[in-house]
Amino acid sequence: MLNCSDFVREYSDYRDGRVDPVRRAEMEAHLAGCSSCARYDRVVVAGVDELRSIPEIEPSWEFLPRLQHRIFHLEDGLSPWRRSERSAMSPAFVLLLVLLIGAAAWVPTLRRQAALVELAPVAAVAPAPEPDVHTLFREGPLLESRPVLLPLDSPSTPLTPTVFFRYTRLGSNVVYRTASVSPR
Amino acid sequence: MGKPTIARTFGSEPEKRHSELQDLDDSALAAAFLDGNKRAFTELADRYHTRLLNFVYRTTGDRERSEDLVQETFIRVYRHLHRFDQSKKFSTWVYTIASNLAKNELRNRSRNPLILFQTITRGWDSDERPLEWEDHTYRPDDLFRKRHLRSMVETAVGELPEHHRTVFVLREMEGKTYEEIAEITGCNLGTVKSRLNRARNSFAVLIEPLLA
Ligand SMILES: [Zn+2]
Repeated sequence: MLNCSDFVREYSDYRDGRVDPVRRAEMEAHLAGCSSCARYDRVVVAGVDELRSIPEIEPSWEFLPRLQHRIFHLEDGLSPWRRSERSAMSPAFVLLLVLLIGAAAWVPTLRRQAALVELAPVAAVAPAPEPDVHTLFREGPLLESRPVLLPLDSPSTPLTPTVFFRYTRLGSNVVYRTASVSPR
Repeated sequence: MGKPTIARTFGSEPEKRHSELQDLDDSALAAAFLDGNKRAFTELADRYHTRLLNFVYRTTGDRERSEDLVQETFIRVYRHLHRFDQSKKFSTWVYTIASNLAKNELRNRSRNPLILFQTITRGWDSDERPLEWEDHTYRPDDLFRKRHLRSMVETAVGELPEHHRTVFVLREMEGKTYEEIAEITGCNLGTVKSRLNRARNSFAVLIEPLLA
């Protein structure tokens, strides 16, 4: 005679249709007469039904583009090796490639050494140093901030406006251009 | 605008080609992919990504992480399809990959989902002991019951120990056979049966108060 313990132990087989017809009839007879096991069965069935009624979650919109992106990079990373597998690239060929790359790296060094040539000494006359030019012309910013000191013994110095200059070096021919600005 | 299928996302080959692939079963698609038809992979991904997402979500309970795990599942499919035994079911293989990733995820999380389960089962003499239903004096009203039933059944699944939850979800939600579950989880049939029975028992204990 099937009891509650047997029923619960074999419940999954019963629910999933994995018991033979005779056993199934016995379990159904027990269900009909046992409120506890009948309730157990109802709770499992109703709970699973409720669970199945919950809407499925949907993948986010970016799921497939993201997968596409990852596959693309996977292909990118795998392809040289796949190509090498297809063409059965031998270890000797790999070694040859390494040697070629190494040799290529040494080429600039070798060429530099070959270009070293000892030249005959050349006599040259050093240019005379340019004399200092005492002038208001100064290279650089405007001299407007520099005070101009007038001699104390020349009160008759004409009260002409002081003019400040600057020059600008233009190009390689050293052309000087003057400009003037009014004093503040 | 329709739902973005992987076929729409993955390129510009004619729709006719895509519909031809749609007619193929999983094994034929796997074979086509191994023959160099990359679109066959996209069809497989299109076919399985939503159901795998739901399976992994029900197993891990983490929506965002589930997407990552399903992505990883497809990356592994792409890389290792040449190892797939084509005499077997593709769906079982892909679920095995997803299940293993979910299992690792839960292991890494280092949280213990066994606590409630152990509380429920503590004191039982055996797993086969029949449930003794209490006479509940308090019954929530219908509105309350309806509102909470859905979240309770979800919570109940989440409270199951991982190895019970996986077989429960595979059987009740994914409709896998015992043999498929055994293959996916790497267990023998007896273990699958035992775990499924315990999972159903625990599930019933958790939700019974809400099912008058
Ligand atoms: Zn009974």
